Amino acid sequence: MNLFQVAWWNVRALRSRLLGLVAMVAVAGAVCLSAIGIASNAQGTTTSQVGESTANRSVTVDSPEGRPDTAQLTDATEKRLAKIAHVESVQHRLQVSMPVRDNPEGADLLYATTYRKALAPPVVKSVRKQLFPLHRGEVVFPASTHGVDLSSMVGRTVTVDAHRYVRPGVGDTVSDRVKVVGLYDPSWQFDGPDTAYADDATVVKWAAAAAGKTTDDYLRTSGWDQLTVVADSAAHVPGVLKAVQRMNYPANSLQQQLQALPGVLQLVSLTGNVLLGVLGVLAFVGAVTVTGALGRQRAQEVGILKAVGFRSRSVMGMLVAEMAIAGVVAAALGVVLAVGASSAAAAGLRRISDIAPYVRDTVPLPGTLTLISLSVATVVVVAAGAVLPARRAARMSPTEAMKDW
Amino acid sequence: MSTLLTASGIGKSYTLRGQRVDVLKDIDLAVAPGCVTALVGHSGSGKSTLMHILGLLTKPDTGRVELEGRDTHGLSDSALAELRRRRLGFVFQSYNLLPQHSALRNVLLPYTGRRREAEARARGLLERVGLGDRCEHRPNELSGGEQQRVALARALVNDPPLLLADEPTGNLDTESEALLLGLFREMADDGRGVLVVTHNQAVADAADVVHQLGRGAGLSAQDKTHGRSWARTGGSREGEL
Repeated sequence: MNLFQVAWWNVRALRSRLLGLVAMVAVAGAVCLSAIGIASNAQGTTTSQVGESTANRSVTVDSPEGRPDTAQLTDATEKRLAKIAHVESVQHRLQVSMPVRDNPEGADLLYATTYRKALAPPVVKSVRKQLFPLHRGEVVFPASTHGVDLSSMVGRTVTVDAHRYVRPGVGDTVSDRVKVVGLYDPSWQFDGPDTAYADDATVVKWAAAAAGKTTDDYLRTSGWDQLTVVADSAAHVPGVLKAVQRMNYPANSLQQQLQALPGVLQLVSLTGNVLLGVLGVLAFVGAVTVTGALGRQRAQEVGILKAVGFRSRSVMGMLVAEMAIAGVVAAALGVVLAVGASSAAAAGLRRISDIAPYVRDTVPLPGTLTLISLSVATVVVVAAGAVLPARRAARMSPTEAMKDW
Repeated sequence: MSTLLTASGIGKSYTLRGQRVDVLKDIDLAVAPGCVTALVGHSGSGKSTLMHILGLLTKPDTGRVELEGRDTHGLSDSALAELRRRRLGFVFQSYNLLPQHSALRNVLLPYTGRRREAEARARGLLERVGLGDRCEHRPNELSGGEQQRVALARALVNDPPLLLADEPTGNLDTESEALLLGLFREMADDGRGVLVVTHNQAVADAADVVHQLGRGAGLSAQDKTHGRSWARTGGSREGEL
């Protein structure tokens, strides 16, 4: 019979003796795949959200306060900046203080900020899948601020006591009700600490009130406090930056940001790579040990096979094939276990607000190519570990091997 | 009469506690097709060693073994394995079946023919040895006699011209022994050569040719088919036979 057929029969017949090796390699593989999967997914998330995102192609233009020769960041300025070569879009930001009267958690002063698509905060909890753009009267809080956990605020409506300018030295309060529709990762610091994102109309309304102007007048005279100029590619950022600065605006680029993963995810990544090495050693040593032990236990079987005409290399091939089959089973089992383990680990990591933005809501397995490569490598290492003991067993003389029968 | 297997001048010795022991010395033997040939001798006479040499499992120190006219001297291990697989069938005293596999798979193991014909052939052979209904049974679910018949079916799976049996009835009761000897006779009637190593007189009585291996490596033969009396070849360690 074909030696692979015999090997398959043997694996099925001897499965209880191979169980230890299969379980060990499968569990090690599953942990390894989970760690690598989570880390690579987090890295992918970071890359897609920041590294290659509009953030990396952005130039931040601040309000030219104290420069009478430079126009404020009004809609007209926005249009001028949009005409610079290689500019994809210009997005505005306005920020105004937002005293929250009835915040039960005690964080009572936040800064209402308009949302920019180019610098979207990483949402960790929301009332709907597509949170932005916000509807009128909606706000997004940080998940925590000054050590206060705000996660219970989602879905609640709070009162904001906006300040209204009346005349120099005199003001009053304009109360508004806004609904907290989501939370973002508080490590997101592009717009400073204590930022609460709100819809444009609400923020402009409060800012205009604080300045004692109508909203139209405010936008025409005071304008936005910051504009984000997005270049069409990262390579064009320096040129766009220079063009903006030539227009006398204080500007800088944002080519920095979250290139590195948070510490825990760095650790997960490191663990995955260390485990990969451990898996290799375990698989190899396991295969050497199991094949050696089975070879000794099955010496008589080897003798019989050789007596009935199996060549030494066929016997060796059969023993190695058995281990390779065990390796295939272990790799497949490892992938199945990894689906469960990585899902559970990811679910746990998503509970940590600092890490949640990096862990997608999908099964965090490595890419198909990595998965196939690791599975094939597992099988190859297990089979390689079996070669020497299998060779030793296969070279026994049939009469010596059958002596005990 | 043509011969399937010819051994000439076979010698084999071991060194035990620094002393050379000649187990076999200058043995000549021939196995003809269509005959049951018995190789008898007491314990320690070298029967099994001779059987292993004739079965190409062990190489002799001196002498040559020819299988179907082909000198096996100098052949590689792979070539010898190929000859064992295709041209020889083995039946051992302890059956030597693989315990983890069914009777059917044990028979299939050495099969070299087409895969799609394999199972039908193995089932046919198990039918022939009276075990058609025990194909899926493992060795530990079979009696000694049944296991030996499975071993016989395995030995025949590649339709070899020569069958070698080492004390095949050693662990069998009288009924199983008679059944097995009947099967050996059938194999010989099919034109195969059957060489049986035994110390069982009943087996020797059933053989067409009997070779007597004496203490110290000598060999005498009696061809009952031709009415010849014991012939003598080889020498003795003790100088007598």
